[in-house]
Amino acid sequence: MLPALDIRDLRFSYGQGYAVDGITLQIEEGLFFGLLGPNGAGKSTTIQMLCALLPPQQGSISCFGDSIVAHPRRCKQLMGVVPQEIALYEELSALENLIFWGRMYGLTLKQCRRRAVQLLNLTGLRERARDKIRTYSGGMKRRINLAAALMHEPRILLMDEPTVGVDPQSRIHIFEMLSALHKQGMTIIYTTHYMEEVERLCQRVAIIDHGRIMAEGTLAELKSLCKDESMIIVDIASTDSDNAILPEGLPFSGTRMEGETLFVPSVQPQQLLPELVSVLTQQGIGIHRTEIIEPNLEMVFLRLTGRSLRD
Amino acid sequence: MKVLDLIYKDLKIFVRDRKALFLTFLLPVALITLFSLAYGGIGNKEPKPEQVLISDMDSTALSQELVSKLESIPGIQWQSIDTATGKEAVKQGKRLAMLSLHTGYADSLAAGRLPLITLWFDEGRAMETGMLMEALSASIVPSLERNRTQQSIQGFLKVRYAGMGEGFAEGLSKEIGQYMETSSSSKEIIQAQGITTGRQVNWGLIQSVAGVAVMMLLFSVAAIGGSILSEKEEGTLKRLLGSPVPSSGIMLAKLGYAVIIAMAQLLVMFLFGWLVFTLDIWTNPLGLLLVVLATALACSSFGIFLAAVSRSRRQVEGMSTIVVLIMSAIGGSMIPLFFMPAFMQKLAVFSVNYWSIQAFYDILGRDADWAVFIWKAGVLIAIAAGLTAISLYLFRRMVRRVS
Repeated sequence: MLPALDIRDLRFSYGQGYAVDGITLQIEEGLFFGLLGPNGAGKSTTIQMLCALLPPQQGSISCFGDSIVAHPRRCKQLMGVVPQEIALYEELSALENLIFWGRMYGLTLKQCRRRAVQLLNLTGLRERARDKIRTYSGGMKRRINLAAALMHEPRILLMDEPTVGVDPQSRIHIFEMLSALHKQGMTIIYTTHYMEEVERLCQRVAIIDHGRIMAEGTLAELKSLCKDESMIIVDIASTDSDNAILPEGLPFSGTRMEGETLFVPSVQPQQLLPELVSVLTQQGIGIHRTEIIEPNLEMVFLRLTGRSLRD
Repeated sequence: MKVLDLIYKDLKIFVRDRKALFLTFLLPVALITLFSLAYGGIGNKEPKPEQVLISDMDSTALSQELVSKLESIPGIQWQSIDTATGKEAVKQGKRLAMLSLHTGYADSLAAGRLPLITLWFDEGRAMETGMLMEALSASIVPSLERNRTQQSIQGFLKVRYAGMGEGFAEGLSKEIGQYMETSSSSKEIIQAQGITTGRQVNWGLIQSVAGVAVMMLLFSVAAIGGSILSEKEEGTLKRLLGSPVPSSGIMLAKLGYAVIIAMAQLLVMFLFGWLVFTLDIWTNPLGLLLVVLATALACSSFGIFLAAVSRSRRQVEGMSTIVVLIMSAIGGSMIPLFFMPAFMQKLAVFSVNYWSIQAFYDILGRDADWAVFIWKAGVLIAIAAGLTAISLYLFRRMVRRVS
């Protein structure tokens, strides 16, 4: 089966160094794929090349086997693009905007109306269909921004940081919409610098920095890169917190004590926790609370790049 | 001190705002320069000679003498022509006027009657004709009138005092004639006759409606062109470019939109002129529609061109203000062309306004043949094609910048 997107050795430069520097990815149909990286990592440039807005200076992109450079219109027809900014006409209503964008992808007026009503239901904005976009809140605009990209029922949805400045309610609504679309079999490529969004939504993730893919895999595969950073935290009950000392004879390397909190590094914290509790209890140490810290993508990114996603 | 700091801060911001600097200093300077040039303050030392036709049907020594006198009038170039061809040239607006010395001119003068002179003029250029009449009044009318007076006195002396010697009578009549005030005005000496289309034509109204309509249209379409840049700034252009619509289609759609608005605007203005000021727009409705379409195309492509050479909507606004004002001034929208010095009149052909206004003159005032105005409409369409081609090229470059 042909991959939804086959990207090979993609490069693009705006003049000083490469904004995208040799990206190679294969994205299978039906996958929810995350492109995670800080601002300026090359995510938007990559997305712009994927939707044929920018011609690659090197490398190739195929969409279901068709070269994007050779057949841009055919490829564009298969894609829905949700840009970073709210690209809607403020003086038109939501319904008018959706119909317009549907027409741009060759839908008939009748098809546009039917599809617009479906999407307005999906976004929860049916009641406000005839209100001008300028009267919408930022979050509502974001939902219509997403709906506009779905009018022609694309097989691939490209999303460039679609939740920037979105209120929590709209964010949840957008996530629910995306989950529903993914269940229907849509391929979704989602760029963001919010680790939580990727962890919640994506099946596979590529971490990008300085235009390069630093790592790619499932969430579990990526997190396993930092499995040595898993840790058990135990708040112990002590009568003299100022003189808290590390309990003697703990058979765990790397253990350290900070105040009344015990930090125990472990690559398999779930298995180790009962043993640790048992040892501490045997030594007469009271336990207030235990917590297992698993590695997250922030740690992975830090490990791979030496800097934080928020930098 | 805080007040001074506030003033300093505002001055600093002002100096860094190129648009504010441009509007505050450069635009007024440009307009002052333009209007000074137009009204002859600068560069008007050698006004363009006005080409006037002359038809000498009398062909006598006296008529030849008058032609010689006419040729000595500064600022006017005379061109001999037969009456029929000359009248047609004036009717079509190719020449300002034709002076006809009718058969019997010399006899009439010798008999002390009013000489048979007619000035056929283009009614669409009445003000210029007035200036020509002034020049003729100052140069030839006094001598013609004196000549006629002397001939009258001499005739009277011959009849009343038959015995008086001819030489004495001639000398006496000359002497008396010099001290007599001329009784006839220049209007009586030279019969001014507008070459009309057989109906009442209000040229001032045509100038006002056509001139203002084209100028306002240019402002409107510049704003429409600027909407491409609004779309760029708001992100909808990028989204459109991500759709299967080709970039040339996006630009041509904008042009089409501008043309529709432009045609509607022009038609509303002409209909308003018809309804309120009784401007006759129905003499050649198809011709008018053609020129309206050609004007709409040229103006719209100009608006799109302005957008294509600008980087932001604010830039378009600043640029369109000065370019439209300059083009309207040199093209005759604000100041009738004949007020301007020769080189400014030559510059007029580089403006959309000029071709458009001239074509409207042809249709609304001169009832000109299709052959006369169709090529002016052709020039407008050629301007539209040229500007659109350049804009398409620039738009493709802009697309790369948008991405």
